[in-house]
Amino acid sequence: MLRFLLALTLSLTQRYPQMVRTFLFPLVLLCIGSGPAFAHPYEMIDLRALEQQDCFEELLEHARDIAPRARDQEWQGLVSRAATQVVRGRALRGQEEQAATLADQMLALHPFLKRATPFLDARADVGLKAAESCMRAGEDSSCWDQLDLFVRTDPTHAPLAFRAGKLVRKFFRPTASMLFFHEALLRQPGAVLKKDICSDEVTIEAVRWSLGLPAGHRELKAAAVVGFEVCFEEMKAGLVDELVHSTLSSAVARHLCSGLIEKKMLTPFQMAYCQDAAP
Amino acid sequence: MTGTSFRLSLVTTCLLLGLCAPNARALSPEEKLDRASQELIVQEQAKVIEQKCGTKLAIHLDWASFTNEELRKAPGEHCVALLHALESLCAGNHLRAYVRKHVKSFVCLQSARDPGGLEVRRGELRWQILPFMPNVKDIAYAELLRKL
Repeated sequence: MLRFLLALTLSLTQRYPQMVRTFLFPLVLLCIGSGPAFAHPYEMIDLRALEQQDCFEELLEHARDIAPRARDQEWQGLVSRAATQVVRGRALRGQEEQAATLADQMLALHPFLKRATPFLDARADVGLKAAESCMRAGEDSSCWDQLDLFVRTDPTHAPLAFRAGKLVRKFFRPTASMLFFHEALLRQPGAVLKKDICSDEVTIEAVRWSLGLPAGHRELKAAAVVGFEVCFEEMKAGLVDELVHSTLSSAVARHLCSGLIEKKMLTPFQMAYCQDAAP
Repeated sequence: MTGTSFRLSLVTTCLLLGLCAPNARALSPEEKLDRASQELIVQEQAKVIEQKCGTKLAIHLDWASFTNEELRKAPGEHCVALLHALESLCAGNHLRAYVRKHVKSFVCLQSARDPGGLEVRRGELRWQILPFMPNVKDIAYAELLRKL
């Protein structure tokens, strides 16, 4: 419609310049200016009705009809609930990957969703399902990379990082989970979840394996932080146990020794072992 | 070594170790030879320990404790596993120095209380074995590092 009016205006401008300047040009400007009036912008009352009718996709489509200054707590609640429903709905229809992508688009569009726990939980669920499908299909490292990015996009969700680590272990060697567990613990998970992460056998396994990596690996540094600092109380017995099963002069023996000596956890014989294990 | 001289060596060992002393039940000549051969296995490894770790171990197999049929006949392999593990640890200079200073005797026994476990009492290694011990050398190695 607007294109047509513009084309008509240009054509008439060439033939009747005086008439256009006087009547038609102001008319076209008026039409453009009142464009939204033709689109019928939704109001809060419409968004409320859409929620009542379970029309969440339409609600999201028109959420930004509300002027920024009017986007109050109620508006945020409506958008947050609708976004959660849409993401979960897509996943229920087996479209986990699209659901995960949509969730990230909504996060970019509505940054306040970073504080909406139900939405973030839904995002985590669908993203992990998508990652699992990817790994099951055998797309190795690209799946890991995508999952890593997905976890970092929501930088406060500790359970997501922990679950990502556990998922990765299903398909990859234990060291591939290490950075996720480290990330989960850095996200201030709270006492209960921290204990769960630190006591989980998959976390312990990741720490033990990662301590056997050569110097310079990010996983080795992460394992040292988790094993000897954050989770030391939960892991100290396991770390000593790993030491007594290690081979003299192996990388794992050296790394265990440096951490356990610092913590004063070794017997005199174990100290002698560590002195001999040193390069 | 010929068969006759080997047999003589076992009998000598048997006499030296005092195995022919009267027991609750008198041992048959075959049993005596069996025991002597098992003791010899452990004694041979003790010599290796002396070379590698620099400590001369007093060895004792606690025959009275071996109630299991298999162990009564041939405990040597399980007993010697601990000494093999000790030998491998003596590859390190600090470990060898520690063993030389702190390890003086070795007792091998069957125990239901702490099977597969090692007790260390005033320089004595008390190695408690079971009839079935898969990965016995790994267990022995870990026990030495845990308890010594």
